[in-house]
Amino acid sequence: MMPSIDLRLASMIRSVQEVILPALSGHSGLAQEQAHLLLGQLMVLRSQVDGALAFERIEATSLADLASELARTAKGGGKTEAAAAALAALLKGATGEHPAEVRQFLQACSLAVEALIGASGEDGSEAFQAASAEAILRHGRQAALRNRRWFSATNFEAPEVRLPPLDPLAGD
Amino acid sequence: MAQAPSAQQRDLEPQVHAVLERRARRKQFPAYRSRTDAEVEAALNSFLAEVSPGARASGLARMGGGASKEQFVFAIEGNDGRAERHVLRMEPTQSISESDRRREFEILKAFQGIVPAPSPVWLDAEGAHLGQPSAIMKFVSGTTKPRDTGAGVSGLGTTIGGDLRIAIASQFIDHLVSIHAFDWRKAELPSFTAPNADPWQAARWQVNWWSQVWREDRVQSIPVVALAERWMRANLPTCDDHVLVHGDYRTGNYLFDEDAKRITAILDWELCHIGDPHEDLAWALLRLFGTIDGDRHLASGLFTREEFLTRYEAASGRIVNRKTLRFYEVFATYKCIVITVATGLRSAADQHNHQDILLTWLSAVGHIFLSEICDLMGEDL
Repeated sequence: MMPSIDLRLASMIRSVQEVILPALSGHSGLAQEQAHLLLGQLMVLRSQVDGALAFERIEATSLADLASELARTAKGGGKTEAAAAALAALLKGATGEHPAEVRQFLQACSLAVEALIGASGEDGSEAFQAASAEAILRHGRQAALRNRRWFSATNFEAPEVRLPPLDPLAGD
Repeated sequence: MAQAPSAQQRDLEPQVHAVLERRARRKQFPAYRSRTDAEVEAALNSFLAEVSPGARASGLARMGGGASKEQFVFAIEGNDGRAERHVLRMEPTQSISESDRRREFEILKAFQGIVPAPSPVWLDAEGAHLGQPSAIMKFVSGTTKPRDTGAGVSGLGTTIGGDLRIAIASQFIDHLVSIHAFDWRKAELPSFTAPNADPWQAARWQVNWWSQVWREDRVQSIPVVALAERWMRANLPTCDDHVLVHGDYRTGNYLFDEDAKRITAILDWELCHIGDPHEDLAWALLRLFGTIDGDRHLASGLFTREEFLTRYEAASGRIVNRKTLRFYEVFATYKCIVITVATGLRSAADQHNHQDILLTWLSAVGHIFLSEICDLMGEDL
């Protein structure tokens, strides 16, 4: 790809840094604030662009694993059983290859998981409620850590926080 | 496919229900365009001509930050020739947390002389004059962070050190106790309703409010958020000691005078409601609103957890129920996730806010809240 995405992002960063921000000096606070945010967003995007699809695929695989476990182990009344069946049916499809397909899968699967968790709160068996809580928390901890690492360039983490590298966070 | 909410899940404070209904209508609006300072000043002067003939706004300038409301500072010259600064708070089509200017106005009026708070002056609750629902308050001077603190989102990682911390910490407790001691039953608060159907209603109203917002706004669901809702519904605490809950009480949401070591105004009253005092305690204890001092976490950058709770108990005469507090810590974290990951991103996706780029930037912080909610629920399950 010529010009590469990296080069185009780099040139945008330079433009904001060296031309746009100095030109805004002394002008609207909101415009300056947003130009700084634009610069930050471009820098983070540049650090993420090469791994973005791989990251979303990891997210999709991780969610699909949790969803399979929940669909397989769900026990309870009619609402829980129906939600588990809907989730199982959705999982028969692929997680997708193209970025848009992967995102579509993440949306549909996460909603079906949400519906099963909600239904199990109404008529799920006690055993499933306990087991699902454990599985969801395990997935949640790993997913949150993975995303914190992925977005660490935003600098929201406290200085003393040490996040593990991304590779070991790939699976659950 | 998400399930339809049950009757219990639709139980909301009537005024909050109205806010959410209005929000639903506004979701159909086209992209929000932020007006220029000159346009806002012209609209403001046309409004002032009606509500306060002779008053004229000048020198209007947009205030920085503010992912929730657009805020402008301006001066009004009085008959004696002295200019007095005011602040205009104006809603974009969709805020990061939806609220009602009328409720905010009423509560600010009610708290004058009780705790330091901006003095409300004029209200355009439906935006009939100013184009967007708006309120005007008197300007209060002060800062949200000490001079030696770097840039960043106010209230996140703010370090207040030395004598200043000692002075501010005492006032932080005293003002919270005063807010919770406020006799809302005798106050003029027509836009507020107390939860009195059953002892669980205070907690249920909050869970229903924010879970509805989650369902309406999430761009993608998150299993642990659904688990948190299930957990909260199964663990609703009772409350028989209803107080005025500030709803966003933390460092970053008050102004102080660094030299005088004095809080000059408690801000951000928009999420105020009648409910359980544990809710404000849990909010102030949120890890992300605190700082690390050596190996200690300081709640709101001011106290250790136990110090905060002990001092609140001593000053208020209340006993903090640790189980109820745990519920509200999960709820507080849930609310932060809804605000950052759901409403923030939805507002940006719909182009309904003036700070789309800030909202998408801020949403990354939601993953820290997600880690925290896992820790909180993990200790209980």
